[in-house]
Amino acid sequence: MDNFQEDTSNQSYLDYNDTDFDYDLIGPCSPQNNHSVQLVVGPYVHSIICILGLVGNSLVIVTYALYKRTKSMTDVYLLNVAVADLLFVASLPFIVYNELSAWSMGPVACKLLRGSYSVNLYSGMLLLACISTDRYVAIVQVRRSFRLRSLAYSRLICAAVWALAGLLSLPSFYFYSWYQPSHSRDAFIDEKHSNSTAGAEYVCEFRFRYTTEAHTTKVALPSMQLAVGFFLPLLVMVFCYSAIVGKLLRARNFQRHKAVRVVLAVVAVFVVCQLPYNLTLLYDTASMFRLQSCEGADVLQAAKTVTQTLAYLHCCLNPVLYAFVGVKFRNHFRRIVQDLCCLGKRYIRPRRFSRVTSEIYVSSRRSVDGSSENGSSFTM
Amino acid sequence: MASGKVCFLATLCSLLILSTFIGDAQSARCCLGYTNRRLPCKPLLGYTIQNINRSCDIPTVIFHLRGRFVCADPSSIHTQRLTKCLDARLERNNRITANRT
Repeated sequence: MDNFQEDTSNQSYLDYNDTDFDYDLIGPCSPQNNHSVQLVVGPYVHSIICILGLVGNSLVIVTYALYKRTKSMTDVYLLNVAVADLLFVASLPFIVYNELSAWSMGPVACKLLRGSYSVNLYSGMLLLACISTDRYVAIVQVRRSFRLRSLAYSRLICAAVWALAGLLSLPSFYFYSWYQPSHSRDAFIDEKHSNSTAGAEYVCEFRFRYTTEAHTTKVALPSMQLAVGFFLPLLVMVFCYSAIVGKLLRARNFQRHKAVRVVLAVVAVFVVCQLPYNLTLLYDTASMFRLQSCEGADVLQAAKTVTQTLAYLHCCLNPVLYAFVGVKFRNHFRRIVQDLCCLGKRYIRPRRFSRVTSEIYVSSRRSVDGSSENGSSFTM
Repeated sequence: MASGKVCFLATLCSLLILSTFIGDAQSARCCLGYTNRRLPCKPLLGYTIQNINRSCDIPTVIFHLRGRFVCADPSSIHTQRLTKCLDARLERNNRITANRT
């Protein structure tokens, strides 16, 4: 013990050899320094996703709210998916802004944004599983479909999905906190050194009271997200859609190829958008308490960011894949566009016509002409 | 119409690829590995304990040297000796400053 004691005269540490020492010392990993690229590109990608998602999902909601009076079970699900996706993309700019500005919006925004992110993720994914089950019942279990596919039933299921999503998100609401990432205990010889680590920047991350609690929750939350937010919907979709495709291929219907293509597109988009992110998350969770190098951690972090962006893209594609693919839905949507054009004609004088409205008008005329393509849509 | 869609998709893809170079704002500086080398007590200025209760996932003792930080395994006996040594020095320092005032 004695050989560690030494006098505190300031000169004492000047005579040890610094260069000999520098070698193979491992320090804390510093944040990546390509922050400028993140500042430039990140907002663009996210704003494209945000705008596409806002436009697509609001169109779905407006179409349902204004025009589609006779709502079927599928309509209720599609409307709920659109609401979940809309909430998701609406919170996206706030999350990106806060990540870039050291969570300047404060503790309430931190808990709300992290919590609502989780609610929308779970509800969106579970609703997609519900849609596949609904289609499975309608197409494969035709006899049972009259009993199982009622409006009240679907509303009950949607309420249950939102409640479950809220329940699964409670830990996120509870454990995400807004704090300065200083460490739990500091001991310094000089006061001036203690100031060097105290960062003024806030983060919105997990904070726990006990180490055991931290250990369990840090693994349990991503595991639950993987299980309920990805693998369960994936399994349900694969089961339901493979049964549907099997049935469709046996049926003699001239529209069957289109329906099969739609099914394949729905599953393919789900897998392409969600699988990379969830595999990265799985790897990240499995290697969480393992020692690693800073370079390895940087690569993993970059992979997580890119695959997460790809997963966000799913929200913009859902309106196209589920709502606009249906012929009935498109007809309702056309009526909205036509009515808007009529309004425009009535209230705006011709010379003040903006180019955008006239383009919509032209395209709606064209689509009305081509609306003879009728028949059963896949979304029924 | 089709070429417009392709152009749009291409732009989106290239933006996605560009965003590869985005590192998500790493929330805090965390130690992810341990230094094997045995440090002497002499040049150390202080230490910080990093536990897993916050955003970092590896329990670590971070020693402060002049101009740098070194991550050490908190379960190693040597690290525990070093923290004791620093605690003793810290206490002595505090006593001296208290006597002066």
